[in-house]
Amino acid sequence: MSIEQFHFDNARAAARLEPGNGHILTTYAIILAYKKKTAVAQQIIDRVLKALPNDARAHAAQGLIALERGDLDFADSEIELAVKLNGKDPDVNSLAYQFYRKSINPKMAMSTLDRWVRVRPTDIFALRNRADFSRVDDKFAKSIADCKAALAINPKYDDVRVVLIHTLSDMKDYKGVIQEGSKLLSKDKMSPPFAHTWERRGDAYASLHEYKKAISDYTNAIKILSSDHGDTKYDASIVHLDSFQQQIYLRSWLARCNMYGKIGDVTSAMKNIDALLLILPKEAGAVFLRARINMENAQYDAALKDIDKLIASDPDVAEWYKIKAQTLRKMGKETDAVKVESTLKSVLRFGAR
Amino acid sequence: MRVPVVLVLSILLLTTLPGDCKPSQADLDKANTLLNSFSPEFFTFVQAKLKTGKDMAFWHEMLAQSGFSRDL
Repeated sequence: MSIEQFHFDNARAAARLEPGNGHILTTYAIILAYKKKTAVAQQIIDRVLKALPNDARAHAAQGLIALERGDLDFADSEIELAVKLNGKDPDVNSLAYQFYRKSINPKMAMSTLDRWVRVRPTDIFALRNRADFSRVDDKFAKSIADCKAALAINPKYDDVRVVLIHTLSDMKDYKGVIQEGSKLLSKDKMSPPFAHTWERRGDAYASLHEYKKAISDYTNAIKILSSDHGDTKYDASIVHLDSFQQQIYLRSWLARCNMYGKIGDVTSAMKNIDALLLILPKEAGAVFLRARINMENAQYDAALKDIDKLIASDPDVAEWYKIKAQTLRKMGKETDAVKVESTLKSVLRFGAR
Repeated sequence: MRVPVVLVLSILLLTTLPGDCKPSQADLDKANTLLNSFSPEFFTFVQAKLKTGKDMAFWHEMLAQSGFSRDL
């Protein structure tokens, strides 16, 4: 059973046991709204608000329902009213934060989080949310302070350590990523919520030239996300993952190929690139990587073949011309390299990617 | 003065209306502590309470609510 279904089943069970309890009905309506069942959620909230017209949670829930329906103005006014009625309620603050974040209003999202933390300074969920939002908003010092405050309350709170690791990674504090990552990542963290963190620590190792450790972390991210928990064949069935997880899988796969190239294990690098291209034949990142590894290993003709393929499919990418000029120069074809650089200049003039 | 039976029944019904039942303060504190410390024991504790058959709506709602006010 999914966690969403678990929450839904419990909300429904509570509502059936106490059909006249406004608090319980509002909880049920919120869960229904998350499941996009906005019509029935609205019916329930209508009943609650008829009996309890000034219930802050019910107004916040109505805001969430309106947001799911796409009625942003009404959602905005309902959230504002809910906060006015009870800005100290954690559910109201949680829903208001979600609303402002989804409706791309960072100023209000942060002001909601500030209020939430102010009225409940030891609420680690509030601290965790503010830490995460501060990270996204590039307020790294604030993010780290909140993570540390939450971890001081509960050092075993994994989710906040994940936020801390990602903040350190965004700051390019790779030693910090490895230090905190090592407190979190172990065999019992081989599950999808941790895939991104394995990837982030892999990136940190890669940046510090610890390529073998990077390969190990990228492999764990790959194993977690593949449907059979393998890492030798590029998994064609990762469509069951959400798009973000699919990106982590692809990035980890490519980064691992790159690491194999860095340690001189060209056989593994090529084997993995070919496995990826078998499933995603037009994946430019893989073709580019194969070209680069071939160039670095003096396989110039093979490199040029891939580079020309990349230029043919997308002629506006500056990187293709740079590596082509580099390859031609290594081949001793200086005149041809200069010609390619001249094309690069015109590409840059007219808007390269 | 005689109190009509209907009125007595109504009062009895009102005093047992949904929303009035609430677990003991000790249970409530323990559940909140577990919830706030993001402990998986929270689920074990609440499931055990549900098995007693008392305050079931309250405990079910607490589990449901962990879906949006807590990130368990």
